[in-house]
Amino acid sequence: MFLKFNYINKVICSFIILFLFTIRANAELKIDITSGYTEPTPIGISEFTGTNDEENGLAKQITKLVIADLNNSGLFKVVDPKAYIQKISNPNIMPKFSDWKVINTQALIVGSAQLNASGNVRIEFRLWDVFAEQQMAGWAFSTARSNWRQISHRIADKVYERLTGEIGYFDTRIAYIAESGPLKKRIKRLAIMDQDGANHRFLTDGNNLVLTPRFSPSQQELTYLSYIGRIPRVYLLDIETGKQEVVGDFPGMTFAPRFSPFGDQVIMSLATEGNSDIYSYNLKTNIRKQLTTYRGIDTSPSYSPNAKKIVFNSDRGGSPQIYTMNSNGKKIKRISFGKGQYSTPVWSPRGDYIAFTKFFNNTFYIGVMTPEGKGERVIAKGFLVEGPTWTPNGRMIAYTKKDYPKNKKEGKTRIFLIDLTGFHEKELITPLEASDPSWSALLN
Amino acid sequence: MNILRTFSTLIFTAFLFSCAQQQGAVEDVSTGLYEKGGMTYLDKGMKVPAKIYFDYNSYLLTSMAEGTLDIQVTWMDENPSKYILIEGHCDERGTREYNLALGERRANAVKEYLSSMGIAPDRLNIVSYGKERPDVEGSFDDAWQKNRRSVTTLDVDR
Repeated sequence: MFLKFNYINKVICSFIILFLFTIRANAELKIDITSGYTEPTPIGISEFTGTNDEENGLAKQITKLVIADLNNSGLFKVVDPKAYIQKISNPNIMPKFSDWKVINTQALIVGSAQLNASGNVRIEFRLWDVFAEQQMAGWAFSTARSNWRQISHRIADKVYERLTGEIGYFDTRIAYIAESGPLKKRIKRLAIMDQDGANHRFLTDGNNLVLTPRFSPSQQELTYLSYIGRIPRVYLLDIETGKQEVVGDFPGMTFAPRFSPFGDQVIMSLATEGNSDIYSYNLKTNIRKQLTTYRGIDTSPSYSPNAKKIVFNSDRGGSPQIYTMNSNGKKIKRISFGKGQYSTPVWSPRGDYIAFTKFFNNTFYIGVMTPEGKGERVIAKGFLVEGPTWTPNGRMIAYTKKDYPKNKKEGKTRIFLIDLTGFHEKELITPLEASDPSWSALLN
Repeated sequence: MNILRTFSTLIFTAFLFSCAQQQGAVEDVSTGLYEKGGMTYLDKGMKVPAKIYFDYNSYLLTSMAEGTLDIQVTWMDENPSKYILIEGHCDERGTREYNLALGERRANAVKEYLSSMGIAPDRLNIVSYGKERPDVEGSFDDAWQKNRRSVTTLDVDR
């Protein structure tokens, strides 16, 4: 078990809350991210400072990453540094707010990077509310220099959290399927990268077809489907060691796996004799439990965050629709009633919504509805969009998107990201074509 | 010298063989099937088609499909030592996981039909590829129709 926390250990660092400057009673800046389209909030990020060339170089890289994260969220627009009037050389004194008000930056981020003899770095930052003229946050991180990317993402997370009241999602990773070659003989490989595309690596060699990776809550493992030996079965992969093992000894094809919120179970479908049912498999006791018995298709199960309920896909009503049930398989209830077919439901980590894929009138949609099936809203559409995955704060959804064919040529398959309000759709850049994204929880 | 002669004879034989292969059906070693002109057969003589087709989101066998399966049954009776692996496939107009289930249903429908016609069930294995292995590339009706299929292949692993 100790080994499993290696990844986290590597990036352990200390962080301290910096002294906050005068707290005043002015209403402070708060970005509402729940109410439809809003113009991105303009903010300023003054380049982090150092005391020598080496530190300045590092500070520059950190600044760049924080800017990219916050811009990518669609909630913030970092004002072009060329427009900045005040050049901040000492981030530990009060900025000249009037200089930042005049270029309409609502918030200002300043910071510094200091290297010490042991090769560690101390990174500080402060977040200022420009119009209330007060400090909103201030942190200092001490860590190995090699962790600078992660610290930059954590700074962006702190800013996001402080300004929106929601947890961030920048210090996270994405597992997905990298695709190459002709569609008839597609090569698919498990791949993993930081949320911003950095530290990309392939986890399988492409010899076996692999599909639908999903993170464990500890982020140390993936569960996914592999055709090793031409038998499609659910596997576990230890991301750090590369160790791969079959989940359970099932008499047939297992597929559509997902971890339970506490990581102790994998829930999946077992198909035998033309019948797919949902099973849970306890990774500690190796006990498997059959949860559905309908003779037809029951698949794509996903737990609610408290593990009390399961949402899944079934054709028991004559076409693919979405149902919920208690985690013991009791109280099955249909929740999708709109026009078209519904599939791949995924419960938000906040518990408030279920994301799904919908197919209607030859168009695919990604949508959300409440766990009771109310308030259905489509937020993305395309020739083929499917397989939503939530950011850990339940505010953004990533999914697979295949473009419309052009001149009888197949469209490309890529991963896109969209916020819950349905604006700010953005491609996640990957080295190859890409599908089946799974977003990790926050790494810290 | 002798070695050289043997070698050139070998090359010549290989050349003749490849000519013969081009005229007849080409064997796919991973499935044991013979292919020619976009058609796939269980036999070299190209009389036993390997594929049958399904309607959208359906696993029911059409009468045309049953006709093809009847020909396969006769071939299986004549080749009792062959083990069979039935692949179930779908078009791309469905989600990945649902299609994995649907492909299994299609392959199983074929297995049930073949065994109802007297083929021993232990000779029949199935595998679903969902929408992962289209037969025809393209995002249009004609391609989708051809991709909603089952393929009766030889189980080369057994």
